[in-house]
Amino acid sequence: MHHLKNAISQNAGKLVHYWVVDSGNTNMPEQIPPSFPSSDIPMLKLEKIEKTYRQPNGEKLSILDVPSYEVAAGEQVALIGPSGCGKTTLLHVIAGITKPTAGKVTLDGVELSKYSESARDRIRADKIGYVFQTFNLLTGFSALENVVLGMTFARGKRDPIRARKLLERVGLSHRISHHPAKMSVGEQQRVAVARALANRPKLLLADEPTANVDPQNQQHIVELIRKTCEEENISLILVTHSMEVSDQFERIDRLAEVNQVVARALAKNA
Amino acid sequence: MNVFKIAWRSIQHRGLGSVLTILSMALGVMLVVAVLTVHGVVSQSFKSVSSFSFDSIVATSGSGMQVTMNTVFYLSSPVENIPYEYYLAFCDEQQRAKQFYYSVAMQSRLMREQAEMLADELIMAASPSAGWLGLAGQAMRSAAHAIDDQRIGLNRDGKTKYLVEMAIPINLGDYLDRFRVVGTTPQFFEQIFLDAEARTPLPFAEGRPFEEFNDEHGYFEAVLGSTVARELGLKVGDVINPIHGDPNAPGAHTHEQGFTIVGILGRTGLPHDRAAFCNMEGFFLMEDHAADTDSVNMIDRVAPRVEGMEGIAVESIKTDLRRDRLPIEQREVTAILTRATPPDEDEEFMDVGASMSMSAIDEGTLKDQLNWSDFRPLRSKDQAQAVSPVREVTLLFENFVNPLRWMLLLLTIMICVVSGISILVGIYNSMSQRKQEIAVMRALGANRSRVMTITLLESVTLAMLGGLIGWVAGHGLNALASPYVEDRTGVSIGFFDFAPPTPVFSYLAAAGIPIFDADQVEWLQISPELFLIPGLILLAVLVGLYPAITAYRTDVAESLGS
Repeated sequence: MHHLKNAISQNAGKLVHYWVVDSGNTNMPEQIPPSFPSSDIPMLKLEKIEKTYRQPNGEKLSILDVPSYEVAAGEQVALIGPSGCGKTTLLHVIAGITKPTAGKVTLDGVELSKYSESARDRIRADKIGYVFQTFNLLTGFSALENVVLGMTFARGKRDPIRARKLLERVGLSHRISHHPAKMSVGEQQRVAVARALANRPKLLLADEPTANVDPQNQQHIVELIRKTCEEENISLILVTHSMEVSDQFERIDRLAEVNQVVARALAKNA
Repeated sequence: MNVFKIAWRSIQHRGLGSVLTILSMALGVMLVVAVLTVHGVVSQSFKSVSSFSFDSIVATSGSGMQVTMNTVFYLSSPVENIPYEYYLAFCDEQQRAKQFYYSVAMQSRLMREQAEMLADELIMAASPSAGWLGLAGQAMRSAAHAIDDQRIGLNRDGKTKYLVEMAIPINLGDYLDRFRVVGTTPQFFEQIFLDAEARTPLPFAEGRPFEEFNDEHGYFEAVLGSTVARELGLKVGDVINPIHGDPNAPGAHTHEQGFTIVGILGRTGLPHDRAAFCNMEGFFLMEDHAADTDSVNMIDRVAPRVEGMEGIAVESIKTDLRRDRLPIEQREVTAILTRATPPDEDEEFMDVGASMSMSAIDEGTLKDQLNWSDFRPLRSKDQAQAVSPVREVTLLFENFVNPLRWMLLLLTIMICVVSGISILVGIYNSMSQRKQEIAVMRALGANRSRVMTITLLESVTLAMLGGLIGWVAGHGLNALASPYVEDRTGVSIGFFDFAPPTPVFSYLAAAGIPIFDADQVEWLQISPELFLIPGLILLAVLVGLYPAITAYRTDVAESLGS
């Protein structure tokens, strides 16, 4: 497992501390523990993650089965796979939006799955940036307000100056007060990137950010995301089905290998 | 960006929908404000006369309400007159003597006495012994008169005088344009007060009260209420010609006899603003105002009494006499405004003095005709009653005004509820679009409570904005209608005038909700308008709750996917 080795080698020889949670305590803690230094532990660690849904006929439908997965601090990963292989569900589990049926998600030393939904929301606001395939900008808000909105729910201060700088960085200094409806698709996605970065997240999750963008803008947006993450030492998981996009990454993970549900399905079909 | 701004942006984003929702709420609140103010104006208008300068009205039997509407508010169709004797019963000895002087019988007696004196002088001149006989005859006649006085009690106060400290007759039935003409005595302006407790007299903007007799104008002087003068463009020195009867009724005609305006009252906020006051003596002398003497048979009843009067008493008032007045045999009054004699301070029932007095007038004197010793009314339909205006006004409020107010308030509250539901529908209809926005906010780290708060804030903001616009519009409407309302009721409403305070805690206590001891917080009166704010917030929270709960329950993963 290339990615696993990579993660282990980065942490080799270093004392790894974990925040110990009493496994007998069924109450979801609200208090979020302080982060450990990112260099000591992987930024993201998934252990035995499973996600199943109950179908209307009562049968269980397994979506995710990830025995192990890690991303180091500052690492940039392209996660590729065909449609319907659980990419978005995996990102939701990582972001704490969806709780896994089983397994542990540890983000920056904090085990998300032990926390209540409200605490996970707060952790997400503080540590995760999210770029959606469909941008999901709020149409009633200007470009600047959309970026500031990304800061609103985090513990840090709302910083309109950073929001402006981010918009300048994505080349939208002239569109700050414009509403999404008056912007091109490429511009909207750039606003979404700026919003995802607004809180100085530890991990940026990008769910097919170029799927709805023309090829010219595709390249620009991927470069923009990667360069900014590199500058701010943000870990990046970019989900894509485009080889042109994934080829730009040093580490490319195939979901068919990460998610055993897909692996089993492929093996069965073969 | 705080939650308020996020909620506001959402309102802005829904543009026309938000505007329509706000307008609907504004309309509801405007109507509530208008209804509260209208009720306040009506209450104030009635309450201002509830501290009347008089505590009972003696008038024809029948509807006490109609009597009150006529004599206190100068409204409603005129009531029947009552015989003048009722007024005489409230007069003191001096007044009665003066009144009796103006009787056909007294004039006959005076003429006869003069003739007798002339005859006596002639006899004295003719024979000294016959003169002695004449003196003896006069002494015998005086003795007989004294016995007669004692028997019928003529040289004394009226039968019911002791019950009242004030009795003012008024005559109604004529109009000046659409305003009532009130025939009364100059005492009206001395005894009817602007503020009964402080005994503040009615203010005069111009001129003076009319006199009983004026060398220049005789009995024909008038004083106008402020609204009458303003609306009809009349001023001191002008002459008015009252219309006999309801101007809209057939047979109404303008009196030839005019009254000179000698004074114009200042604005009182009382029904007096809408009345034209004429000297009653002049009023009596106008055509068609003399009662039919045959039907009341006054001459027959007055004559024997006049025969019994002391000549000295008559002589003492002769200096006040001017020219012809309408004989009392031909007089009637519409009503007599009376104020009870205040009881002695050490008397146990001071506070019930007025009602006791009225009861005495009503039961003991007016209805019990056997004890009516001055001039017993001959026609049973002439029987009078004493009406308590306060009681009638209270009844009017309880029976008509309050139910009407509650009905109007109920209607307007329902309008507000409908407006509230429109907020609910407005927000709920946008929930499908909003679900995605909520999911995005949740994905950005907003927790469930935060998105619920944002949705509720949106509802509250819509309601409060609508409320504010409605309040301003309601008060604007009041300010616009103020001149009209002031003319009709005498109550002025400014833009910033709240609906008059209501003893809410007393009401709550009366309704069995004793939040405080009502007696202890009687001073604590709150304008019902102030309840609009918490009421609107409550309504907004109630209607916003459902969308807010929907927002709370939004499935982020599912909604992001959509």
